[in-house]
Amino acid sequence: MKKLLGITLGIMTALGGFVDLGQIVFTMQAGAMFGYQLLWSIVLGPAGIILYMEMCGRIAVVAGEPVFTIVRKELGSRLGWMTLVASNLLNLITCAAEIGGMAIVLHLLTGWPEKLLLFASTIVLATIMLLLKFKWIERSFGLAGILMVMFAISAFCLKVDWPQMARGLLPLPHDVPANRAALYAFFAVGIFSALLMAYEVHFYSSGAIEEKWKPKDLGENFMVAAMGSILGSLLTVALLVLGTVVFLPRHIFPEILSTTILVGALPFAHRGLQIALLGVLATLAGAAIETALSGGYNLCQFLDIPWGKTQPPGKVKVFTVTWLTMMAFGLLIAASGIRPLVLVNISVVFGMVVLPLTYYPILRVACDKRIMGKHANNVFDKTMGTIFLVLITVAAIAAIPLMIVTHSGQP
Amino acid sequence: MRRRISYIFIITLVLGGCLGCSSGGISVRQEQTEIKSWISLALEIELFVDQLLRQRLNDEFANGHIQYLKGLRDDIRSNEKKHTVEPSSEAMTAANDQIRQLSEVIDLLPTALHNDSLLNNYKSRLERVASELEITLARL
Repeated sequence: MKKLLGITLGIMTALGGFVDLGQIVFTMQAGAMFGYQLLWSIVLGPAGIILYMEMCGRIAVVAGEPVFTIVRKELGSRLGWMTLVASNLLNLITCAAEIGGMAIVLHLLTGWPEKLLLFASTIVLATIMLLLKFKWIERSFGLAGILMVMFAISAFCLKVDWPQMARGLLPLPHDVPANRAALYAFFAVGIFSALLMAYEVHFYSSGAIEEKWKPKDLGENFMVAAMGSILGSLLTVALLVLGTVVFLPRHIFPEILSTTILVGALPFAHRGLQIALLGVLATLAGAAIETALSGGYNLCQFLDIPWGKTQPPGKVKVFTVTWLTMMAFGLLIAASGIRPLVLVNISVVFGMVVLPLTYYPILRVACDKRIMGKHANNVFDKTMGTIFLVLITVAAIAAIPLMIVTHSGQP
Repeated sequence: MRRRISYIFIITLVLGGCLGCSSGGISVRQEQTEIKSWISLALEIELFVDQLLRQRLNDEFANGHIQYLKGLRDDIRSNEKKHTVEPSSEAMTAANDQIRQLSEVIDLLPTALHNDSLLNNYKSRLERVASELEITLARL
């Protein structure tokens, strides 16, 4: 039973992290433009995140060091500060996007004014975070996020071209004209980035310490990382299928959240649509919580001051004030009228840019026998970790130029 | 050594960004992008109307979705104003009439949510608008 509950952390990370606002819209847009041809990037992303989540979980358990303690030690003060500021800015932007998305979903569910729902839902979310213990937050939002399975059921009910889909597993853009090559690359980088968002590893590593994992839990650690990521990626595949089956033949490029949700329940009537809406709401709320808490985790771990959602708020004042501030500023940004999808675009692209600065220290420490002892990376982990770090770095270098050239992925 | 690698990475990023900026203005054909956005919007609304006709949407969702479709229309319009001073071709001028019709349908949708004959009428108008805009796009 305890093991089963432990897996919930992975499910929440997968659904709240993998399938967040960016993932929903970005993946459907990719399907709408290139069909199944970017399926390989959805397979590649989870492989990378499984590898690095397992590594940072193992470091947290063996060395007792969360991600930003490693960043400070490995990158030094100046570069460490830069990484901290950039990561927390991205967390803030992502949090604002998720909060804005929640208000949209609530408006579609209730018909009440969006601005009112924006403020009310943020206050309710912050209150839940203050009142509930870490494990209850993870369980409630993790399990509610499973309603996203509605998208997978819809995708399965529509006509899927399985042989064509299988061809998409190979990174060969066979049907992409030369003038759309940059767009194809932009969406490949975007999907890869959205699947590898740094806040997932920040949250996962901090969660491992919050839940007091021991070295004997390492097997469970790997299972959590793998199961959670695979589940998240299957839902992401469903989103690509929906984009391909519904939008591509109709020449629609979905640019608003409500259109993507409409498609998530296309074969079904009211009930299906409501389940899809509730699923999206749970994943957006989960991602908003993860990004806000990650902001607090990162700052406190970097400054080496007490932190933790399992601690009474009075004992970890800086941590509590930081995540509350993240929520408050996120609310202000969302209330300023900037569309959540614009914010998501920024967070996905710039998130890729910051990624190597977080993943590089993790790989170094995980390979260090002096710190990790017998739990240090073996040859396979080291080789795969290096390959993925190279891929992430190449994607990071390409991300901003591709965003500019393609006007943030406009067809 | 490791910090030097990280700094080299950051410098490479900045250079990459500059490269992207310098090539950004060359590749786009603004008018084509605009027409594609209008076609996509017309077909998106057609899909929505189709779901309304099948009575698969409740009023809260339908009204909210119309509001967001209007927002998208306004965004496309404001992008147009930013980039285009006046229609640069005959084809673009012809497209404006279709765009006006599309805009009209969006404005009329809230009053037609439960009226199948009106919805059917809008559906065929949207199909026509999309196909006319496709023709315009081919001429550009």
